[in-house]
Amino acid sequence: MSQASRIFKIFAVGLVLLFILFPIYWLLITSFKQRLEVLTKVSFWPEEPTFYNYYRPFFEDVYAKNVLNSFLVALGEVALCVPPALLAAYAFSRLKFKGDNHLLFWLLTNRMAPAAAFLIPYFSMYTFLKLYDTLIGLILINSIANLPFAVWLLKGFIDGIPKEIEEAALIDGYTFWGLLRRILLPLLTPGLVTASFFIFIFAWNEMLFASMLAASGGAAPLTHALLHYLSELWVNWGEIAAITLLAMVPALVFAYVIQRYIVRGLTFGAVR
Amino acid sequence: MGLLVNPFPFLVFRMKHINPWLILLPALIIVGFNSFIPLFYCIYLSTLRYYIGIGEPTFIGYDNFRKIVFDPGLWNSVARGFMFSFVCLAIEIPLGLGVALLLQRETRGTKLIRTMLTTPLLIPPMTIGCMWLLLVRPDIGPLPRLLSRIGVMYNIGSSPLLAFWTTVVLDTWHWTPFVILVLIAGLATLPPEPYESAMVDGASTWRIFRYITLPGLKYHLAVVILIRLMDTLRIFDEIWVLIAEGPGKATNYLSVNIVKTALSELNMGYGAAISLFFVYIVIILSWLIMLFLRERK
Repeated sequence: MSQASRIFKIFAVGLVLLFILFPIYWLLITSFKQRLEVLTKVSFWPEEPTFYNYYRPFFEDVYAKNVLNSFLVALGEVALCVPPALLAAYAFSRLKFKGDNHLLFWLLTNRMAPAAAFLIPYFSMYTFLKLYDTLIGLILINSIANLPFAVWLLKGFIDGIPKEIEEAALIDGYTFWGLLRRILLPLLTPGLVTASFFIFIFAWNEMLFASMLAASGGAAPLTHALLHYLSELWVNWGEIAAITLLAMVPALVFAYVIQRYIVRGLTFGAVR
Repeated sequence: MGLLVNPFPFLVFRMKHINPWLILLPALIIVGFNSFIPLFYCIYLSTLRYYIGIGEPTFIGYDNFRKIVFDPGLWNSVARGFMFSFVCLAIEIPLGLGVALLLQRETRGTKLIRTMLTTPLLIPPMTIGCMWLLLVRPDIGPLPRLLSRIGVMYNIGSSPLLAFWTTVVLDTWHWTPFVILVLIAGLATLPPEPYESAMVDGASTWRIFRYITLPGLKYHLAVVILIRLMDTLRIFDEIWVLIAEGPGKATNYLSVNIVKTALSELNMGYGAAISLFFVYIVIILSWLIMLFLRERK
């Protein structure tokens, strides 16, 4: 590579990284600024850095409950989606049955369908079922997108396991559960871990259902609380920045772990 | 067998006799519960004139669907939604392709850069809205305030054009890394032989790109375009947090429109009809994706 094109490459990649990192940098420094500084100055470094903005979200119990709710919804989502998705993915990957392709497509449609389109019927339905403003309700409603996602992702992973292993198990007289537990589960660990992390992140990130199907009291997750705070008249923007960062924590923690599978996950296994 | 006791002894079966429907059942029940009941309820609602809190719901047949055809507000929203998708794709795909080409060779910084690119894809979309709110809000954002010093008015609350382009830049920020990562994965699958023979023949960089790289990336480009198309069409969280429908309904994209119709106007019947219309568009598009993924095999 010539010197000129090397410089061009560094310059171009640097520009893209700057574009990506600047908003995050701005968010970070805003979270350390005094309330007045945000409103009066454009400063690229906090003049009198303060931790005050972190006090309420982290140490006062206002947001502790929201964080806990987010966490429980995300964990519950993993528990609800992964086991059924594993079974379904096995059926789609290994067994031939009438209409399998149509059914798989129907699942994808649910994943692709805009959440907003389901909102109106969901509202009445979940109110009728007394699931409005409950953690169970939020877990159940998020599964419409996450379960099909997990099926597609795990199907890709099962497709990658050689069939001969199962044929050997068949000859050895394994039952289906034996096969699943002794042979498939160990081989599928990366797939299950990837699916779990993705579902956790998706459930944690979800805003529309969280804001429409939870009241500010009981089951409201963090996204709901943040949206609610944004709609208040007098907003401390430093605090908004701090809560926003709090909401990003799982993503930042998991980014490194699922980095290897990110493309595979976000393309439903279409790209390895 | 095994250490764990099977909680469902009646479900023990030999490999030969697995009924696919039996192991599909749990997934189908959960998804079906969230899919069919709302669908039928939505169809039912769409035949009503029903404002929450105002009078009783009355049956009006297909009037809501007739209204769709003649509702300039809705078609405006559809047009803006597709315009948004089109502009986002037109920016993100070439940009992503360019950066992917620059990053394809493994160097020291590549892994770190890839981790950095992963981050925007995983953080909650609504926090991206918050992040940009801090940047572009007229009263606190550095962008409008610095621009006003050199005499440029940048106020997304009053200029429809600026509002539109701000959402485009936001989406570019959010999803270009996805395009980059998918295309890097695509570039890694290309066989080296054609490149070697092209080098021997002394082909220009542009011709190598045009006749070897681009055709080789066809599948990955199609996947990324289809997925981005779906995602841009249903974009909601970021837009809602940033400006909702925007000045002059400039960013009244499809999802925003539905939520506005349901929430502000409390017009459930018509909202349900729009929802069905939107789902219809989505079904056609995901059918295309499905055809594509099947073709591959």
